[in-house]
Amino acid sequence: MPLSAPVARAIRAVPAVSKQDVVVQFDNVRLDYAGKKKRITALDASNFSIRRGEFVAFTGPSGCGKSTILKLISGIIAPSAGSIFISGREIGAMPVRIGISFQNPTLLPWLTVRRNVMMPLRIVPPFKDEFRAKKNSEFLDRANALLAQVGLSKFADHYPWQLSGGMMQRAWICRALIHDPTLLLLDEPFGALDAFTREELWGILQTLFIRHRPTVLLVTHDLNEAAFLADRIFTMTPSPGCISDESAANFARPRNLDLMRTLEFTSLTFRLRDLIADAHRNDRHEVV
Amino acid sequence: MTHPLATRLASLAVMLGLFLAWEAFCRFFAINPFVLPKPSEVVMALITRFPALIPHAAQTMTTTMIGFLLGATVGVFLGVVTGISRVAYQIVSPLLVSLSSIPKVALVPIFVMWFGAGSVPAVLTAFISSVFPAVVNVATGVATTEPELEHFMKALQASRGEILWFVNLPRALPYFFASLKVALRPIGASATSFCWQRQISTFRLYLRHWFCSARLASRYTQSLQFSKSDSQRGRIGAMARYSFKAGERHVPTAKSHPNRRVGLLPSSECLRW
Repeated sequence: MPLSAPVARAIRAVPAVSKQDVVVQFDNVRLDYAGKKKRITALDASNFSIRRGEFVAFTGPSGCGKSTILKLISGIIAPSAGSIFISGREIGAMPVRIGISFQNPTLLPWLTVRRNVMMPLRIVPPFKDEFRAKKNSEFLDRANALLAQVGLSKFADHYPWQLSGGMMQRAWICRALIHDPTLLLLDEPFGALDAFTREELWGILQTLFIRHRPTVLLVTHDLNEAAFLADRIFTMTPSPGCISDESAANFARPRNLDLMRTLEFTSLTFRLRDLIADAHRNDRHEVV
Repeated sequence: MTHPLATRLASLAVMLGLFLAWEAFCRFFAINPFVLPKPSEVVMALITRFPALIPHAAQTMTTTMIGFLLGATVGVFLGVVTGISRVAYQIVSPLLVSLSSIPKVALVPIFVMWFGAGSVPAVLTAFISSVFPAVVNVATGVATTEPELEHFMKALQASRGEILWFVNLPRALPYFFASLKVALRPIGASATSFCWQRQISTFRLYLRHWFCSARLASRYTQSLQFSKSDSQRGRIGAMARYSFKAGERHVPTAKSHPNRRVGLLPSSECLRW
């Protein structure tokens, strides 16, 4: 006898690994989208789980569905098959507090940096009602404190177009963190920056990570960035994207840039590089 | 970066310079004031006839503003509705763009025919000339919102209304104001208002001029219709003549025209009316 939908959902809502500290779990997740002639699989047979307070990076050649994973978790798109669990509940069952950042810093140009940073507080449920009820000195302090941590205090009343690219990214990180997100999703956050600014922001992001301890999912094609920031690195193969490898980066925090000169670090990045190059080569052969 | 005051002064100087050049041009070539009055004459007329102008200015102002506010409100609403849905935008936007390209002055006679001469056609004209730019622009502003902005809001689990309020609407505001600039060409409203104000002598002059040129234009069209049969030509001509004759009845005769010997129109044309 087939189960009724709510019962089936209730059963499925218990994930296979029912650990308290698993925040994100993907069970055989597949995502198809309609191409010009046939359906294209962007992501296939993805299984992984991420623990609370973990910093995870996804790397792979372009078009391998790295960003798709973030879009699935944030609920912007729904999976074609399989299930995604967040804090033990299937996605969409209950609101999850998510901070998100994209490659292009999409600050709202008509708001000052401070108001941009406070934007999530006006939308995300527990803060939203307080924001309406009492005028927000507490929230202002919160925004100011975060901006101070990334060195943007002087620019709090500036508009986004008055900032440099690096400053915008720093404001973005503040905005992604202000509502104490369970999950911080970063989609190539430093992709458009020069090397020096990028390294500076790695330091800032790491400081914030140590202080606030969110669970971070970082999508990047910069292997140094992945190895420097993350605890665990997933490597992905292209079309259809699936996770091919998982490497640990067990370096003590806080890490500093000297770490990048160590043998462990370079051997890790070279290993990642080989994995991605292989995947890329195989993909090429299939096409030819 | 130049001083803002200097920029202001420069733009003022350019404006003044234009009027000075105009004045100099008129004086140097001794242009007949009926053809092109000197700015000084215009200013003098403005001062001496100020009491007569005020009620008309007020009438134009109120009708334009009412129509304009109605148009902007309706326009924003329709613009948001079409802009939010990609499908609606793609279906409706060709229609909107083609409708908005209709010259609004062409609708004035129709409105006058429907509602009679008065404030209603004036308000309607202002409404029509502001509603289409507002719809098209607001819809474009809403529909072209960067997907990242919407993704960011969706990731925060914002409702459709919140996305609209915090992102789409502010994003569309510059487009909306641009549309208001386009819409604020009160030409349509003033055209209707001078239809209405025909009993006032100042406006008779304009009205007469309007009908003169319209009649000339109709003759010109007639002479161009070589390929049409004679009867057809005659019919079109008769219709045109009849309509302009009907209009002329409300216009003073040429004899009362103060400047009948002068002007852009051949004097014989003027006098024969």
